[in-house]
Amino acid sequence: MRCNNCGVELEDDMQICPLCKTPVSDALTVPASSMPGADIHSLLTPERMTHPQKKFTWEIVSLILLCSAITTLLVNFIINKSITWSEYPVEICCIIFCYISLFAFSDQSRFVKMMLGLILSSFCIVILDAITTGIQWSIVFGIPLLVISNVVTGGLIFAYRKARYKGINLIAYTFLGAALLCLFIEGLLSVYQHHVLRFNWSIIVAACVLPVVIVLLFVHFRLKRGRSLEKTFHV
Amino acid sequence: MDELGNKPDFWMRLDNAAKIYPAVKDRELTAVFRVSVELKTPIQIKPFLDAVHDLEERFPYYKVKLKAGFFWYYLEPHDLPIAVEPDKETPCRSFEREELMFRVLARERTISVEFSHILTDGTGALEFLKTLLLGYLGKRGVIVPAGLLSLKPDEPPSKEEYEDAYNRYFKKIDAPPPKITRAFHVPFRLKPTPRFEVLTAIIPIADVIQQAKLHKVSLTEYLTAVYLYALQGLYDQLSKLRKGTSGKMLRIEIPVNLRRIFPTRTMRNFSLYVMPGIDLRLGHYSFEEIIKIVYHQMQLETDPKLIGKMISRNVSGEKNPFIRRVPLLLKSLILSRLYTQGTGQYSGVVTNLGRIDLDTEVNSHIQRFSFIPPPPNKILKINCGAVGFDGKLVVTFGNITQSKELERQFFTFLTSQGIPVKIINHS
Repeated sequence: MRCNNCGVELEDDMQICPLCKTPVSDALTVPASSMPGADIHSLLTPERMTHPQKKFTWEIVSLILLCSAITTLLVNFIINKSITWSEYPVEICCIIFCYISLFAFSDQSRFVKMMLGLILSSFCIVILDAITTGIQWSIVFGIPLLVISNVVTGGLIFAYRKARYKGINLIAYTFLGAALLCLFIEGLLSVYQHHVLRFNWSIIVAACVLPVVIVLLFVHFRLKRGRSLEKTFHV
Repeated sequence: MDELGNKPDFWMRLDNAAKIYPAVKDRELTAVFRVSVELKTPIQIKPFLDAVHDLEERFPYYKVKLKAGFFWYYLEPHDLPIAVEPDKETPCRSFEREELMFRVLARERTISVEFSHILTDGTGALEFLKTLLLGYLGKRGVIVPAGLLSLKPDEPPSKEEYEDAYNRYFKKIDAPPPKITRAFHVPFRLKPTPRFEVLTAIIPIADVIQQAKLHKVSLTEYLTAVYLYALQGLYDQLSKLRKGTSGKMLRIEIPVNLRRIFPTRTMRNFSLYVMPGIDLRLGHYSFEEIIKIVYHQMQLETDPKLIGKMISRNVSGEKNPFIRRVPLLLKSLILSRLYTQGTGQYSGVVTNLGRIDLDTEVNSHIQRFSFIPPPPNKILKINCGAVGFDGKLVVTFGNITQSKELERQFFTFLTSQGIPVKIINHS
């Protein structure tokens, strides 16, 4: 038996050419990655969640968000006899819900999903702002903060995916992302409230986080698989 | 393994010849070459994949990836299975960052291996292909004599296979590089990308050797002389203005397998080159004159002491305390400039892998071997590779221009000498 595509001879029991993944019979539609000897790309691509797995995860997270929102509202109502502060945690739950729904069910690229999430979340906070105080903070503070959070999160996702070895380097990246976010939050707040760019507490946060990040990255790259620095710095 | 179960931190420096390639390689100038063997029967995929699998642990010095250090590039183990691919794309494609820097290809009756020059030279690649081929034939029931395999798949690799033999044979001498004038380069326009194209011809070895013997030269010397003669033909076709501006020296770079001169079992790069040539300022050369010059220059330049001097010159650059401490980024800029200068010194390359002879029984299963040299750069534009097997010499031209005039002149000359030339379709 011969492969029509690359011309090599196959064993009688082979249904797919292990070289070019061409099915011997047209009726066969076994995905190439499920065959032994799958190509290099399948080895390099991380496993993705299947659709049922995504749906199940979405259901669990949605349920947790719903419970949290109801509990927060109830606690606020019982203590203050009205809704005073709980709309903000509920809003956060709504934003998270928007994102996980998009990531669970949309087939778009990760970037498009992030952009759609940003639009939906922006809409949510504008609505909340309009209901509570009239449109005030959402445009000048809320949406820029959302944009920056998306950029930092996107950067972190990119760094996680690109990291060849996933260890404490990911913790370091997260710390770094959090420190950046703090700087942006304080910067935005100071511009929003005082109309000047001023950093106080976020600088201290960043200064504290930076040595931790350096230590974590050093430990990761220095001690990973017992490697020495000689090969990097050999002359 | 240590007590934590970690593998020892193995890494390798690039050998002296490999050091330049990371600085210059790109999608077109891939520094990847191919050695192929065409069998008489279609490849049976099961024994073929089994034979590849048997080699997974045999060549650890090839299962590496290129990493950038602060001062030099280095090679780090890369735990991927050997890439086996259908042979359907352009030969000598570049390797992606996460791939191994060699691949095994198969199509119908042909097994090919493609190696980056960062890993090894033609001899190393040919040894790998032979080991794979004999393993495959053995699995198909062919009796392979035990002595035929210089590298046995079930034996661990010896330390010598890893070695940078340039360093071993380096002697510190003061030998500054000679100033070499710019050479003539073919005047053809480049093709649009992807540029690399291959033209392969089959020539009866006996006929070429007969002609070479008539002039009392070796086959490589004969091919080099034909190449120079064809280049001279191209120069003669130039307009007066173009002749005035182009280089007047015709030089051919001929890689020399140093293992024949300096014994080593290294499977990494260990070759240098000699550059016979003619000076067109002195007038037109007849073929007889060219072949005489090539013969004498080759005899002179392949002298072990002169080769040793070239090794010392090349390695001393890498050992220079100042150069060693230049950061990689700057070093790469310097190296790519040196590469451009170096290529400017010669007009063509003729790589002859030699004549392959395995064993009567094994030979009977093989149609031919072929060798595709790495895509030439934009200065050189055309290069040539040759390998002989069982009465057939397979000559391959790699070309990135829109013209096949050099190849035409080369093969027309051979046919004019009564040597039949059969052009074959590479795909």
